[in-house]
Amino acid sequence: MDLPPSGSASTSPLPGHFASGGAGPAHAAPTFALVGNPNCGKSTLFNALTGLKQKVGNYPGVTVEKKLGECYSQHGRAMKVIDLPGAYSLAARSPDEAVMRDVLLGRRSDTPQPDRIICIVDASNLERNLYLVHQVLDLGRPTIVALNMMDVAARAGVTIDVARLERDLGVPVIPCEAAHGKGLVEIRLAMSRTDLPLPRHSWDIPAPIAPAVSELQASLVQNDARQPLIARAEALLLLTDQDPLRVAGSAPHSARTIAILEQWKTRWHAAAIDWSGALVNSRYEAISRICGDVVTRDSRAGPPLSDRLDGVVVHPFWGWAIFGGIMAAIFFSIFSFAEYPMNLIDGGVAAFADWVKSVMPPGDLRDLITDGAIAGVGGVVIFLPQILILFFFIGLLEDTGYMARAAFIMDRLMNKVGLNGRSFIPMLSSYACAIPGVMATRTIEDAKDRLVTILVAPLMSCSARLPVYLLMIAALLPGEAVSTGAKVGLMFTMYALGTLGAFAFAWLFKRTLLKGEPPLMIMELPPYRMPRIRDVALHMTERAMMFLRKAGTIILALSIVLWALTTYPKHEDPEATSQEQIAQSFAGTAGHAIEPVIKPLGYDWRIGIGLISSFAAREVFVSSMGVIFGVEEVDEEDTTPLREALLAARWPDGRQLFTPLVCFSLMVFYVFAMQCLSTVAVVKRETNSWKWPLFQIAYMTGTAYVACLVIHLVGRLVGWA
Amino acid sequence: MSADVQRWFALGVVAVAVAWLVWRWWSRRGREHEGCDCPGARGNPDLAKIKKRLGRK
Repeated sequence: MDLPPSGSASTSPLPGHFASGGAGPAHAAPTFALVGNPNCGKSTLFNALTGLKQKVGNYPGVTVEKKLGECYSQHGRAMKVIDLPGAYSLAARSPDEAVMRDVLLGRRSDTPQPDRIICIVDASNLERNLYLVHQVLDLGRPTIVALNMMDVAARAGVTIDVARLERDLGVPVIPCEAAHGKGLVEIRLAMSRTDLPLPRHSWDIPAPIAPAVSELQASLVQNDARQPLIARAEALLLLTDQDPLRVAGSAPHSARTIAILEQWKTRWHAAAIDWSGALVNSRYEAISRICGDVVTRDSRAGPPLSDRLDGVVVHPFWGWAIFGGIMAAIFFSIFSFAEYPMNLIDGGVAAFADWVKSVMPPGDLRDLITDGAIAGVGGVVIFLPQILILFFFIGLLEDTGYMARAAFIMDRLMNKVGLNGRSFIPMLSSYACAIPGVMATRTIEDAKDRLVTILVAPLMSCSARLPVYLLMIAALLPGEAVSTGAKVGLMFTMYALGTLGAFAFAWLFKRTLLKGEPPLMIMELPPYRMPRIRDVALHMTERAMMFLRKAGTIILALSIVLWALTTYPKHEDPEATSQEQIAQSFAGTAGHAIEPVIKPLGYDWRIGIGLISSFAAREVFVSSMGVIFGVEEVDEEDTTPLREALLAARWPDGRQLFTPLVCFSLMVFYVFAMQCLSTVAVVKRETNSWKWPLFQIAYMTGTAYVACLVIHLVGRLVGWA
Repeated sequence: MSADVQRWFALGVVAVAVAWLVWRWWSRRGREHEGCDCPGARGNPDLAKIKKRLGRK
């Protein structure tokens, strides 16, 4: 089989069935792969094309999502679509990008090589997006370029000569706006074609590199059983990436191919030729020429608004000031706007419990309902308004594009601890929940950086900790007279403590267990946009439903179980006080068993029960306090608000249990302790072993214990009991 | 409702709660990556809507 000539990347005809752009035998459904840079609208297009007919799974052996869907051609013929992970080039750095490259190169036995490729390109960033397209065209597969975000380009004053771009690339180019459903018909029509042309783009491979490309290509065909065009693409990758093992991935190259590569590298090194830079520069020169021909910018447009805003938002000083101001505003809102609805919920829960007590005769079932279910679930549900406010602002910040700027600002700080700002995005996600945060680490290229980020991400105070913080703040700073500023300050302190703890441990791990150099971060800042209040409201509603569903299911079930554990076995003496009853119940026995361990922290066995139950879900601490102190309450007629019940709780010798010191110490405990079993399970999955999740539980809970011990000892020393 | 009847009802409710928790843990083993029930968990929001429409968890 003839190999394409060196010195140019013009493609030779593919074997057999591809000559007509067809996809094999007529009855086989063609498979399209969607590729593109991150944030180019790839998933939006995938969802628009496939609708409900999609399946999400995992690529075997790696924790990368596999998205397959189906759509239909204009003739009613089924077509398969694979949504591949986003990447800036075929030179893969992260597990996501490696999967994309391997699927396109036909290396994965679980996924057939796609017959055709759809490259989605952000029209407002054509030059950067064309790099991947340029590499994909080297594969010689029938390709369609979907020029997405045309509206964004138009607003930025960018006009693209689509016909000229089609001519230069040699493939169909379809302008579209996937988010608004525009251009989808044209894309589907292009996908339906049986005569899709093969790419005809050409670019000049630098003269010193060209012979190496041919030689490597021939070796890959003969010794590594690669198809000719795949061999060419791999040869170009080997001559772009410094690490041949990374290029090989799961398909190691033969000794002969490696030997040829090393010989050429030695020659270039002797001649002081930057071989990897040469190919990249050459490709970019070709892309620049194309962009020069097809892109016109409106000179009146000036620098985009996003760029002008970023001059302030990512400023070394003003950036931090703005970030701090936004965080303060969010926390202030959480406390000030939520008070009225919280009081409504509190009153409603108490009224409901009182009504049940009034209509049911005394007995275990009544106690289960009032002191178990209502006390447990009500104690958590009361925080719904504050959680809604938090997610409203998170949704707003994400929708406007500010979150990417926060990550950029954090990069300066992250570098000091040996990570880069890309690690901050998973950590930022962990402020809501550590699970998507841990999963988001798949985009981190360096394995050690990824592991360090996984280990420290749960230190970011997640939404489940919020009810615990709020309850403790209410107990620590009771009364209307306390300023909102004090409460905001305390809340901010807990979030800052978790963040600083994450940075401190990242610094420690990067210098001890997982040593490595801080990587360079190149990050895309998406343009700012007006928040779509409808979308933000929709996300808020989704979060509220998830919160209520969790409260109504897991927390309800756990509260019921906890009530049973604090009620049975019954005390032999029917006149026993409620304290005596709980003390000799199953939960009381367990709590007394761990009391010697937690007493140095100022906690008693009742708090111990709460700490143990929190391992199921952190919010359960609030429920368990509700159950324990609800069971204990003396007044059977009226339901006491939980914070008042906590303030009234006493040690056997009459000392107050929930002193300000204990409340503060409990918050710090929850900042550091690893108490979410779901997160442990995901960490185990993402790291493929139990070693790291167990290490995580040990170091985090150990830190929580030591920190609270120090706080308790110092607090007592300075007289803050 | 007598105290004894209430006690048996209460124990029955507790048994159902325990059974549900065990079933939930067993059925979700290996699928933790699909997201937890925390309000902060995101996953794939589009797919979440699609699954909801299809009536699937």
